[in-house]
Amino acid sequence: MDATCKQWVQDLEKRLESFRVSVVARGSRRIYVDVAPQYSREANRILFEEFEGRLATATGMDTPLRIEVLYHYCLDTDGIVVTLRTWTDKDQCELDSVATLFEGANFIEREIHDLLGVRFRHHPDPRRLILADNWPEGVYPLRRDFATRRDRTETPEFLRELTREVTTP
Amino acid sequence: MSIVLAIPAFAAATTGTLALGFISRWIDRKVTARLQWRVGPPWYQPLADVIKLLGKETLLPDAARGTGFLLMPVVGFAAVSLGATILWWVTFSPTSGFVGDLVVVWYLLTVPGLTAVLGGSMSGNPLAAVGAAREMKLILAYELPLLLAVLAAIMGAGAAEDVAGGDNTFVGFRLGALKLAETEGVLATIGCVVAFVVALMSTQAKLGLTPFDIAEAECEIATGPFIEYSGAPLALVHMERAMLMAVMPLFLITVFWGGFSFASVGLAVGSVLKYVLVIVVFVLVRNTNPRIRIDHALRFFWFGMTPLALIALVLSMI
Amino acid sequence: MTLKTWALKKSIWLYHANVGACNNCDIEVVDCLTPRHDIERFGMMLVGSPRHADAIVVTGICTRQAKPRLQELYRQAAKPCLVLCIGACACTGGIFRDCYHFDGPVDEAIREVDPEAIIAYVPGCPPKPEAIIAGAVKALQAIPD
Repeated sequence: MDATCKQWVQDLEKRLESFRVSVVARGSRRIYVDVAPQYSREANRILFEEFEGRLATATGMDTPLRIEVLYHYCLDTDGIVVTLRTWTDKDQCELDSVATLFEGANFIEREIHDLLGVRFRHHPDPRRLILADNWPEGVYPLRRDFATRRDRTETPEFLRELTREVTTP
Repeated sequence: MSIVLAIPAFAAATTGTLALGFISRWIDRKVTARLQWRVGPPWYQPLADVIKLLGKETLLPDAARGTGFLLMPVVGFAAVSLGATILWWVTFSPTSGFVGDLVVVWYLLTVPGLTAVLGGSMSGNPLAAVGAAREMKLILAYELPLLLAVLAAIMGAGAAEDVAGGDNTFVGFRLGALKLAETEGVLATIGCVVAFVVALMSTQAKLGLTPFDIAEAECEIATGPFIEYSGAPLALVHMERAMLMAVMPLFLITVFWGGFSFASVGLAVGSVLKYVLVIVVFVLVRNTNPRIRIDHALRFFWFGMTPLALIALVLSMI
Repeated sequence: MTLKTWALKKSIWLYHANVGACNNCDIEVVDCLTPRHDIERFGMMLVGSPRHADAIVVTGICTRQAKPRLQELYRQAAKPCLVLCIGACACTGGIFRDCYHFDGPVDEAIREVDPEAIIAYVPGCPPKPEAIIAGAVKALQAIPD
């Protein structure tokens, strides 16, 4: 592990210890921080404001047990990427929005909501972003249980109906 | 001009100018292509474009004011045809014009720009409205220096020799007289040359060529005022623009440079060369400049070309 | 061949519509205008308004959101109007065939509006400009006299 990276790991551990996080460095430029969902917004704020991280993007994952949301911050002075991972269970599916802290997270949280169904509490503009206007509510395409068109006979009825519908914009 | 001669003259002038317009448009596209190391379209391309447009259906948008929308290209075409007729008549017999025919040709040639504005506004399309507003501002911008430049030419011609058939040195608003005066070489005066340059720039804007094709910026507002036209009205729009491209150089060389004269073979060839030179200047300027913004264009014409035209006016009065 | 068909074949004005492409096909379409391929010598020109178009050059898979808009574009173009589907995505959906935002290829969308439309398919990812020109020529040959 790089010396600068080690330093960052120690700084992060010290600053975030009240949140009971786990900070792991994988490789010389990658740090992974796992934080529980109730502390995720505060941890994001610390990374954005105190550590001066730049939010590169946020990603989401649908794992068998839970849905995870990962925020990737770049520490540009040393070229290190810190990934902050939170999670939520599939039924509840809610997280505190980071967009209230800074505008950069606005669109990416809308996209994660469209595709994975994670609801971000207090998001300033929770409209649909990338799914079509006539896409049904409550159907999240990037979840594992979403049926693809690979086998057309298994397409759900409502989706089969949608492919016939032509709405005027 | 008796009525018996007027109608065939009108028909002949319209077809002649249309043919000349197609040739001018083809020269424009071919020279542009050559400058860009391309091959360019064949000689019949503008004609094929217009015939194709005549064969397509005419669509009338719901939000458009139908009558005006469809009538505007006809009015523009008629105005250019009439202006061309007067101009050709003066070219072939310079002494048979009438006092003020310069003014008549002037306002007839303004009509296509105005019909573009009106047609664009009547089409009910917001992009057309933007294009129409820009065209209005552009008209305000370039007409003033052009007027001053023509005045400078009149002053310059009057200060030169006596006009054939006139008893005063003031040439007045007679195209024929201007033409005759200038065959004696008035363009040699510095005032007239400056005025000619100003007029060239203003005509670049009138013809809607880069750097002043702001009104119909293809990428930005999708052809501006003409966005909703299709089929036969669009064919008329293209014909009107082709004819304007033929008439404006003719107008310029008639006012500033002595026009077409067929007195001898040498003079005839010289006239054709003058005409082609003016068109080539337009094409070269078109290909070497980016499109400028409407406020830059206004500033250029009002604070750049107008003082220059005033200087030309003063110089030609001396 | 009538005068009308001759004029149409000699002067095709193209309107470029990107309905969900990755932009590679768009680059190749614009490449056709460059000096190496120069489709202007065939009279083809890019126009800014669909009403002036004789051929709508469609790139990209027809996403669910874009489908009604593409159909509206076709309806607003003055007939006769061809459709050129450029690239594997426009022809069949390409590698995005099984995606959630795919709602049928471009030709199904156009045929819903006009079953008699002349549609030319130019496969490739992206197709070379020579292929695009060949596709355009084939479409022109399909115009009834």
